Amino acid sequence: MRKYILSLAALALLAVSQAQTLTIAINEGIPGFDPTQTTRTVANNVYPNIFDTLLVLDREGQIAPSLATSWAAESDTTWRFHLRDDVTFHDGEPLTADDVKFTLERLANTPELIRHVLMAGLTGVDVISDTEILIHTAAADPLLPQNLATPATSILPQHYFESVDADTVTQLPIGSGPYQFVEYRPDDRLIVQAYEGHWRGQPEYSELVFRVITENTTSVSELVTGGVQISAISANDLERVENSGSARVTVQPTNRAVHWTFNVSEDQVTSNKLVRQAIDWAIDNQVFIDVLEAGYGTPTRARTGPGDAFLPTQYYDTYNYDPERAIALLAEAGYGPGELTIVLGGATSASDRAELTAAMLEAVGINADIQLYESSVWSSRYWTPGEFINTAAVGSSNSTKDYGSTLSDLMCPEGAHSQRSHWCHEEYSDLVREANSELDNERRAELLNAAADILVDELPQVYLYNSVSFMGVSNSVDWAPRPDGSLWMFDARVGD
Amino acid sequence: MTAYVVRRLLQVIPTVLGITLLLFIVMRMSGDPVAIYLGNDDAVVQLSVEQLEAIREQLGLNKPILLQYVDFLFNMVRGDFGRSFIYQNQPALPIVLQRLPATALLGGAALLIGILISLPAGIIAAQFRNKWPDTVTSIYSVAGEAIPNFWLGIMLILLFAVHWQVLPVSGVGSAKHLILPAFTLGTGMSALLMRLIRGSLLEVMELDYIRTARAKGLSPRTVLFKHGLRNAAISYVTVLGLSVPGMLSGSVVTESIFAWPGLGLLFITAINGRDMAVVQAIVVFTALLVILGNLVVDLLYVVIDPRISYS
Repeated sequence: MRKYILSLAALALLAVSQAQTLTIAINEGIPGFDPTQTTRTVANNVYPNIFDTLLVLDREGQIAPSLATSWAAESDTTWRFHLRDDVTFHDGEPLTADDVKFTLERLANTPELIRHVLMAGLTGVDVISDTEILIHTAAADPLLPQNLATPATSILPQHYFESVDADTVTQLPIGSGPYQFVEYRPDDRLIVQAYEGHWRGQPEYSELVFRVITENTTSVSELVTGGVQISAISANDLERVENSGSARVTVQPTNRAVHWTFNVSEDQVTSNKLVRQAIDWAIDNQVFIDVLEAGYGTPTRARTGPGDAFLPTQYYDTYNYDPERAIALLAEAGYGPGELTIVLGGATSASDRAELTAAMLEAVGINADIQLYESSVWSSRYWTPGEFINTAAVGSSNSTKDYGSTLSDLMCPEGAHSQRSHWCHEEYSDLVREANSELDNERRAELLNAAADILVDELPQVYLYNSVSFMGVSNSVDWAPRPDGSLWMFDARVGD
Repeated sequence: MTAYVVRRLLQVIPTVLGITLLLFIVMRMSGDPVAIYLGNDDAVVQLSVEQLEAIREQLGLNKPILLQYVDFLFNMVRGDFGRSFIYQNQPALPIVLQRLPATALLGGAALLIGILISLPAGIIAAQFRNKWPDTVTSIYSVAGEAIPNFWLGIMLILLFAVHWQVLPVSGVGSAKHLILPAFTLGTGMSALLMRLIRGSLLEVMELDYIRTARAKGLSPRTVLFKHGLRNAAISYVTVLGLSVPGMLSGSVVTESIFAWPGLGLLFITAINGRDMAVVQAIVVFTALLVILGNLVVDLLYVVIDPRISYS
């Protein structure tokens, strides 16, 4: 009998210890643990477990308090933030206003940092007390709260940065998030443990293991056999996960819009607006969703999607498709059937998209010449201004979750995409510029809507659809993915 | 002999110079690494021209290419391959060395499997020429070379890890984790080696000295192992020796499928991101392995075949 009870107790202990570790598959390694030094999606999705930001985006995409308890614009260029007084870093040192000042000014004053742009407009931070600061910007910056909710602006420990070298900071991070760093085995796994002193309290899982599994079929095999409990999956594996009986599929709309960008230089046929409009009317957006995304996704004429503040909803879940109208527009532009050839350029991963588009263009009498490249070669071609011919297969998302921020890269002359496509529209640029220095939300919405109207008329880009992300979640875990893709595990619970 | 080894080691210098020069030219012809890094289309990254220049300066990419090359050579001699662009400015060499044990373990295990399968199977095939054991091993040999690693790896996972659940799907941590990836990597090699040993053995066993050995009344075992196999081993050892550097420099496909954190995975990530420092460190490391592998093979010839001498 005693043996039996002991065995039961051992089994119960085993169950508890297993329940306390949550293993998540990630499809690439973490390049390092300085949040200001990477744009890698996976790293940015993992960082919030280790680092806290002043503000966060909640599940509805709204800005919510985190290290900052309240915030308000005092004037066009000054914001006042109140901070929590019960926050400590993982080494036990208190997190104070000085750490916030150090973090934000470091990002603002160091152009070599990859995410410098987020704080480029910051002129200084005044420490009023341990829990109160004033943030000064060069111009009115309505995007400041969004930027302070991205992992890149995670608050870092000044004392640690000043006492160890840069390599140590990158490899052995100290943050103030709900989990503290234990070990990173490169390209194998990251192990973090619940931090007992965290101001939010204790998460249900005391340990997280992020396992690097680059091959999709392997991570699905791990998911269905219990090796991992959470994994991103592709549309091809939906049935396999659903039929496994051990895991379920969750579908999360993203703000990523798949699109074609036009090169509108004078020497390109795509400089003609009528040609661009004809292409827009020739493309049946829903077909991409049905063929490439197993029917999941939403057709769109907007540049990003749900979750972005100020999204022009009138252009979401709608699209232009009328082959007859496309043919008429081509005739108006002076092209009869077979007289116009369009180059569709992209990485080899865009081959399905290119082939579907080519078939649709050929149906209205446009010859399509597909030119695909190895992804890094293509990336180099696209990011060298004006290096692509006619069209480029691109996707856009935006980690700041603000439509104004999204539209700014088509502003002329400074916008990154504008420089590549040579699309330069003065009125559009003025509208976005004004919107992005307007603190009044109503006025800001008006300005961004007007800019969105110009985009759908001028068509420097043709937007196809907003993609979704599929996550496979073990039935032993109660967790749902977030709209921003963050792998924030504080709220994960043991399932029934 | 010593003079030969020294001469061969000195040949490493012009070889490495040639390889690094070629690498430098090719890497820089294939695109601007800063542009490639920022071309992550899932994140709208807007950097000013000044910021791009600051990053290029930090990486030394704004210097003339010849100067960059000379800098690289001087630093390389000191074991400094530069800092990684992707891995947050960390030194490249430790990043490469961190992955080496995993790759060496997998490569070593795969080699062992390759030898353990190929040697007995090749001998049996030669001994039973044109009989059923020869047919069976021939089928294995053709299949082993024809089946791509990614297919074999996925099938092994589905059978042993998903269906029967007797082995882990992927990752590292125990001897069990090593079985499937090592078998995947070792199968192709064993097929090649098996054909080699079979062919050489058949050729050697027809020679006059074997007939003499038999006529002397030596046992078939002695004839086969002492006289036959030793002479047939030259080509086997050559291919084996040349395979070692390949095994130690990582297998992209097998490491990806089995989430094995080795050099192959790192290499592909570094190439895709044009992480020059890391790519350069891996290529120089691999080149040195190939050169040393060749040297070891050449020295082994002396041990295997007394007729060969470098003195």
